[in-house]
Amino acid sequence: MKNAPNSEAEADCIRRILAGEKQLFHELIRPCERPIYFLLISILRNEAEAEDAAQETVLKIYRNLHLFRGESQFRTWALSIARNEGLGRLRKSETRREDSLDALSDDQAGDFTPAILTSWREVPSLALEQKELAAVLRQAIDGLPEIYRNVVLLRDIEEMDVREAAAALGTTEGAVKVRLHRARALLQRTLAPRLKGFAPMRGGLFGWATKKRDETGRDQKRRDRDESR
Amino acid sequence: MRIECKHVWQYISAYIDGEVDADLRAEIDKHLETCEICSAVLDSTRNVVVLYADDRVFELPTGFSERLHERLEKKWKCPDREPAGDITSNECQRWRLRGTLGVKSGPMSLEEVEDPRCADVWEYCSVFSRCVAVS
Repeated sequence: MKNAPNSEAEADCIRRILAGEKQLFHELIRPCERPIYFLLISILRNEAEAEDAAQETVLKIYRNLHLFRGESQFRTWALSIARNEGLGRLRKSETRREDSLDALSDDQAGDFTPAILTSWREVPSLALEQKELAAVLRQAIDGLPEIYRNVVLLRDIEEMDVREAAAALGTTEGAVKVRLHRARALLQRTLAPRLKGFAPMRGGLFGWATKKRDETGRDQKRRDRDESR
Repeated sequence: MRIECKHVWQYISAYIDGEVDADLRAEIDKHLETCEICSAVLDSTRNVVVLYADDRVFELPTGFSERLHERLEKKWKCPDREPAGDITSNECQRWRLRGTLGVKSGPMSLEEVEDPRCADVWEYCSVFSRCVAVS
């Protein structure tokens, strides 16, 4: 996860807040703001409601801070409160989405075959300057079934590890892995054909999306090969 | 033994995350050397992940953080509670619960107001969100 805080410093901060230094709560909650909001927008799919739910969540976290026992990371705990807030609102909502809550399970049959592209050229991350591309990516994630969307938001966007994501979502690590795999497969299938349109006709190496892992020369060679066709 | 494309696809996500064991990884690598389709699937999946994980794709709404912290401050200054005589904060005294929501009477000490554990009162009030300023 991004900027994971030192848990000792965090525990000390919580002790001081409970002892009366409430202003410290601002700093405690700051690293949680993004994941709380994105988890809520994933559940509620409405910006205004997600923001309101995020504020309520933070107030609840503050009010219940004395109940935090330090058995999990603070952010995991905070996210489980956010998740409860989101699901509670969803249940109350009269306009429940078709795919919400119990409509989906992990054994659901589905086609997770990837899009077959014989000539894939990477889209440079520089292309994200184009608002259109960011919108296409957001739409694709918004279009995922909820159980996959939540996992993508926590694992890939907020970079939480499997264990923490599982704890925050109240599920198993195995389920998180399966859902992430399926979500990425669905996103590859939806996005890869569309993203090809964002690749520039000619471009240097600048701005190519950086590989997260496994950077090998082989990929570059393959690109060169594809380009020469 | 040569593994099949479908077998490789099952492990694409784990492969990207570096979560396949060394033997399987070697098999997949060997397959990728000669299979353009799987190489393209891997590249495209990885690139899709890198792109949507970029901070520019999912941004907090403008002013989100400021509004959140303002609301916190507001809540701290105004615990939505009938003020008792011994509360010195003017801010608190300007507010009282509207209607017949069963406002609890009795004094509430400043320590109580400051203490995060007196939260149930705030919780109670936030459900109704019916505070009015008393002029």
